[in-house]
Amino acid sequence: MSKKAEKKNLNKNLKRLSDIAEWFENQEEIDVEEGLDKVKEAAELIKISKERLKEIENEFEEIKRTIDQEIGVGEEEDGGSSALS
Amino acid sequence: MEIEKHIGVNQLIGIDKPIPVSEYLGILNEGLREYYASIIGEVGQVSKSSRGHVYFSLKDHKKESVIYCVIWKSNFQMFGIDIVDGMEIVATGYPDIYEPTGRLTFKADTIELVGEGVLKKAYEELKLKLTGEGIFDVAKKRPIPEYPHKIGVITSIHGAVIHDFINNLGRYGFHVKIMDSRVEGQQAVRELLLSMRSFRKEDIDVLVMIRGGGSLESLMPFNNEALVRGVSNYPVPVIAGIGHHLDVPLVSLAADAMESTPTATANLLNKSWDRAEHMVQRYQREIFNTYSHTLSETRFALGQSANSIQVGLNTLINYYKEIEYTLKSNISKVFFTIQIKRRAMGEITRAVARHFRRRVKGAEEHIGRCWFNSLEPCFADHLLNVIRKIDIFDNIIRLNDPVRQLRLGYSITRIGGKVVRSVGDVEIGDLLNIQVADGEIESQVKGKDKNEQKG
Repeated sequence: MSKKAEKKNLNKNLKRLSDIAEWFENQEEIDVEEGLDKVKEAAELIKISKERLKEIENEFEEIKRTIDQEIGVGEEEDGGSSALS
Repeated sequence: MEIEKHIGVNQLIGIDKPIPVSEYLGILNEGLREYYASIIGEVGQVSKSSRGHVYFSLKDHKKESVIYCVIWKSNFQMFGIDIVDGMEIVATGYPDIYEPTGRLTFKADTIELVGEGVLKKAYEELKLKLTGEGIFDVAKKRPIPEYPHKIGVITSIHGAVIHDFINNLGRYGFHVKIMDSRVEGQQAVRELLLSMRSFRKEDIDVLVMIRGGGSLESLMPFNNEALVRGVSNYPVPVIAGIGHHLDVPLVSLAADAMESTPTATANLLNKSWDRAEHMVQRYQREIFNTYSHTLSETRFALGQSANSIQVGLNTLINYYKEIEYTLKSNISKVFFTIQIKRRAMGEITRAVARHFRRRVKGAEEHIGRCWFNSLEPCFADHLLNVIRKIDIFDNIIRLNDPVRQLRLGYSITRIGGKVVRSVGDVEIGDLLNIQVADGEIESQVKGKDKNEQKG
């Protein structure tokens, strides 16, 4: 799975977990069978999410800046000091 | 140093052979580039060309020394300082001889204001202007993406700032791309702008600009108008982590999120990840606890139901037992009743029978009475006559009874069960059975003698 998909899934998984938690919270009387299905789903989501949230070392990379000449290129031809003469 | 330079030039072009002016000026300008410097002076004779380049003179206060300067439009706009006569500035660049006029001009790459008061004034003016444009509007700020992964960082890789940042980033597998940039002095503006532009080509989720704290003067690059505008319309959200005391750098105000230390900036990036970790724990707790509670309740309810069912069942069983008992007792009653009835019936029957018998007897007696009373006189004689005749017949029968005859000495001889009536019924040697009054005698015919017919 790509890291982007993983990230997307983490977000999706947390949303789903939030929905499930909310379902449990809002249910006046919880249906045991339905509750069991949700608990099973939640357990899977928690497992996947924890997998993504376990310690992963960061990567560092130094990027070189584009050369300075990009600013002001092509504007020096007019560089006379006529205004001062 | 200068002597060495002259020698160098002489060696290069040769003193004996004259060279054209343009060539000579070219050589001079090449050499003059070496004299890159920052110079301080008072601005005078400011003018702008039609193409936007700005010309001015810088004059020394103490001596009557003056140098003519130019700053190209692009650089001038980059620094966003509106220079006016009498203003003291620092210009950084190198000298150059303009060939058409032969005049020496200082080509300024950067210009910056000097003096706390002037800087403060410039800061306030720019802040007011950009505020008016809505660049710092809170409504304009974009949220920092959740679970940022690719982070672009613009900072100086020398110093504690970058280390603080790196050390405080959570281990969430961030991919951090760092672009080393000066962060102090007017040269920093150029590098910061170029770095921001370079990062536009990189795939990043968020851009971070960090540096340590400093005076208003040292932070002036982060009050640069071009940089502030660049931050405000950057393609991805920007976090400014720039230390400051009183005046918040305008770049920080324009950024989507601002922090004042590299640690806080790292924590901001960690935030959604940390929260995710926390939320996963919380959801786990909430969901499982609630469900466990539900299970306990259900188990309890099941127990209760089982009890209720048991009680119900017992009631039902007892009810049936009662019915059974009632039924049995009723059946017994019925049987008993039947017996009683039967007995009663028997008695009735017997009574009826008795009654009938009595009635029959009564009827018989009545008939008898009727008989004797009414019929006897007619039949009495006849009856006596019959009785007498019966007596006669009885005597006759008694006199002729064979058993009486046997007692008198007569016997009955049989052969094969048939009574022997004639000599001719037997043959010599036949076995005969002779019945006498008290038994039977077996005998054999030894001879026979038939009586002679007389007559």
